[in-house]
Amino acid sequence: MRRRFIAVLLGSVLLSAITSASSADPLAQRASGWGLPTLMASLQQVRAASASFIERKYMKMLSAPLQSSGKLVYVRPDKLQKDTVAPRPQRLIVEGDRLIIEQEGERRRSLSLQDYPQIWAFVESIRATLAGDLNALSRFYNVSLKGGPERWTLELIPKDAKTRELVTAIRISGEGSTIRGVVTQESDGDRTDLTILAETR
Amino acid sequence: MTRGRSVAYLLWFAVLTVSIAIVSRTPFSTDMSAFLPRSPSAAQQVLVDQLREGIASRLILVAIEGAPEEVLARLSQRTARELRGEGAFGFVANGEEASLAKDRRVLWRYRYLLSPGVTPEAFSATELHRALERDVQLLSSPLGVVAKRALPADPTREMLRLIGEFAGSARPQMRDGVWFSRSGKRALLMAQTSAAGFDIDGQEKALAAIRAAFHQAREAVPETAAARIIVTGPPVFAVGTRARMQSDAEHFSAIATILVAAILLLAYRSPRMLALGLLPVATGALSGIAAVSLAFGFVHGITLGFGVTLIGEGVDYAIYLFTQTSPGSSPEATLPRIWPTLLLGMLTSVFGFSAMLLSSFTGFEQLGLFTIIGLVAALATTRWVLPPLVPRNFSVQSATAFAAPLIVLSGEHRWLRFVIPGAIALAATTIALHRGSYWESELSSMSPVPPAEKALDRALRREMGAPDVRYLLVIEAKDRDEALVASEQVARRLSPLIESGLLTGFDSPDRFLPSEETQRARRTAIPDNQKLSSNLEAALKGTPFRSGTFARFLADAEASRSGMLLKRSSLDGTSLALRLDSLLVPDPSGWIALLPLRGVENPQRLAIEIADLGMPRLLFLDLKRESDRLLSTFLSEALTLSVTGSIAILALLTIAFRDPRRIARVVEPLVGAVVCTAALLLLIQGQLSIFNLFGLLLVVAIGSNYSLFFEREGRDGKAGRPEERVVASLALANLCTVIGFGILGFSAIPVLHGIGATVAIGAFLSLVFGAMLSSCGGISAPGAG
Repeated sequence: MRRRFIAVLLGSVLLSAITSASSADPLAQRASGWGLPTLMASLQQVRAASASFIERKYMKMLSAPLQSSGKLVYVRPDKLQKDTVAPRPQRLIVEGDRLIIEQEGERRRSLSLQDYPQIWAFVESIRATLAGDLNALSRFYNVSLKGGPERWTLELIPKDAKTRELVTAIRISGEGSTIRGVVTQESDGDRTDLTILAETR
Repeated sequence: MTRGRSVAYLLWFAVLTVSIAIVSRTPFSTDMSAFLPRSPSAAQQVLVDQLREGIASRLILVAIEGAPEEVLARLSQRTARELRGEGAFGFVANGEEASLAKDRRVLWRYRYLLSPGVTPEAFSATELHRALERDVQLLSSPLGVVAKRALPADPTREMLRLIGEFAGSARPQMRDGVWFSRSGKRALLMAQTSAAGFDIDGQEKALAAIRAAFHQAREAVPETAAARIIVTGPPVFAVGTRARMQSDAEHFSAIATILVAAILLLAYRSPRMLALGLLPVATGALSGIAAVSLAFGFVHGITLGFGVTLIGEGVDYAIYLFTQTSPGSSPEATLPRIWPTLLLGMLTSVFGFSAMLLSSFTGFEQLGLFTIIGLVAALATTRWVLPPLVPRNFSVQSATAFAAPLIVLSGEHRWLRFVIPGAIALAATTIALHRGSYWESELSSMSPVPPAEKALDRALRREMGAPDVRYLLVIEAKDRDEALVASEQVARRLSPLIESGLLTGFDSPDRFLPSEETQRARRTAIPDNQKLSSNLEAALKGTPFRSGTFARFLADAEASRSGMLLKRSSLDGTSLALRLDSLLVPDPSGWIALLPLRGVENPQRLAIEIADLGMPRLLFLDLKRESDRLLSTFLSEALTLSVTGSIAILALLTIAFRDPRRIARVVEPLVGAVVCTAALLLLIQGQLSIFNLFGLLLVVAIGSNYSLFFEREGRDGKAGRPEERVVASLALANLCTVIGFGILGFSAIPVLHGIGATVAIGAFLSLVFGAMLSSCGGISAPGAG
């Protein structure tokens, strides 16, 4: 536990250093032709990242948006952890093919992403973006990029028809090699906004 | 004389006609239960039933390999689709979503009757509120995207609970939407044949359908040139074994027949005599089968297999008669001379095998009856039917050629008398010094499935997450519902044992079909519509859900409350039905519920815990131990019968000879042959099998004829030496036996190999030992010739 904390800490320090380094010279990037490959390459530089988040779910069956907040941790190559603190503690860990859900008053659940292709697609939208893994993204989505290195938006449209029945599009916005937000538009009109706040140290 | 003869012929024709009529209508069975003790323990009965027709006996595991992952996945989908359209399969699974759709529909419809979560408290305002709070959590997890759809109709999440339970512990990995091995190199499928395990024709058709479906799929999908299919499982073994048995039996018996016929033709120089020589055997086999059919109503395949080899003795009768007839004489003239010996030889075998009639195994009884009737009929044919058919002036010209080596042995060599006792002593020492068990005690050693195929099966089973079940709980009940009630009781008591680590899990039929009592209890646990909606209204307070969201929940709960109970037929066409049918099976006295146990590390302790539950009709079953125990019961009874048979033979000889020296001269070569053969087999194989034991019985049956003839010649022959012609007949008979059975010894099938090798070695030793004793009078009476 302690070791992981140190790794995250180190990663964050590294991340901020890289972030500042790349934003230090935007002109040079523009000149070399900024695009999906360069964005992915810069994301690939991130060894680990940690940030707090606020998530709001707008659903027809809910009279008010469901708001939760907590911390999001990414460790290269394939570990993603989402610790929700409020309103109720919940921990999600994705590592490799496993998704583990721990929440208060319930048994720890562990499932294989391969068994749930739709959830896998959803997980990969964030994880593969953080990893800068265009191949993994393209496996599930048609990817398009808007904006520039300082502010960009990735639009992901699910390729699989089954997944499209659930999710119409996922929009990931970021600055440099940092993700700032993820908006998931579901096909029934529901929507999830995930806002990523400043990195925690 | 002529009148007597026509009576004999009439009788023979009558017996033959009736026998053929009976045999043509005889059902032949391969039912294992014929080789169960007549009053089997419940455990043994379950074991055999499972082997015969249990669901496991119909399960085919399929792997497709030799192509990239995506290609394998497409092949798997196409093959499965093809097979689902076939009538030969009750169920085909490859992990595809489509194959589970039916299951999901049934689970969804009956979720309030199936889920153990349905209790009166579950629908109170407090519990509903708690459930709704958990729903909020679920919505905020990544599962929310998927779970959201079902939530308005199932806020208490019974469906999720059911899917979680039914998914079981181990499942193959999913890749590209289908099951894969862990390495990702094999796509995995599973098919359950509609035909029962013992219906080998049905299984064979099903296997052919699988291959055809795969080839069709391969043509439809590009880049599949190197792709290949692997099939395994009990149906594959059964079909393969039958094919190997048939081909071995056909090939080896064809070779043996040709060789034996060639020798006899060489000896007789007459095709007619060759045909006549087979008459006693044919008559014996037919009447033997007919007798068994009359007595039991059916003939077991194994009886027939063992029995026909016993007829080997029947062939000898004609050889003795023909060969011992001197030139210029006639068989009629020969008969009075050899008849007492032939009769005594036949009676020796009959006494030996009559012990089998006392067996508690139907299979042994059949074997005994078959042999007794068969030998009596064969000898009677030789005595009364054959002689008039032999052409005048027939004699076996080359008889002396066969006799020469044996004549040498039966000469006056003093040292020869020590050979048999010496050989017996040596063999007995070998046997005494043998390390470990004398008998193969594992049922698997009798299995004709090649080890490589068994290993492949184990590997695929592991990857499929469908390991062989070894430990089972068995519950007997009067009817289906009682079995379900009992299984619910046992399941409730078993759960704490999982927590204490005695097992990791179990299956039980009531999960798929709860007892009516339980279903009714769940139904009454659901409040009426008005009450439920007021509870829900109260529960919604303090949650973010809009009121009205759960209208479908109210409607579905009401539908379950006032709807039909779940029946076995409601599950038709789903994989749930299949799993239920493998766990809940009818038997003659009612129904049996089977609860396979997983992850049992300490069976002794678990057995004690289960006995402590104090449930009278609950049985803890270790399938491996039970099947091995079945074999050892089988083996020990076969041994007892052999000993009883030997005592009967001794008694017969005592009555016939009333002279210990004469008895010793007959028995000594036989004991020598049996002991030496057993020692040799132990040296070669390490252990003896039950087939070797049958072979030794046959050695006694065939060898006793040799030693009886040698013994008689020792007394009546010229100057105490056996007559050349008699020795020749024995040599010829022996040559046929050694070749016939020796060829069978080359088969890889345990039955054929075991019996073949034993008889070939044993019969040869009997002859040699018999010849040695024929003139020197045996150790007990030196100089008595």
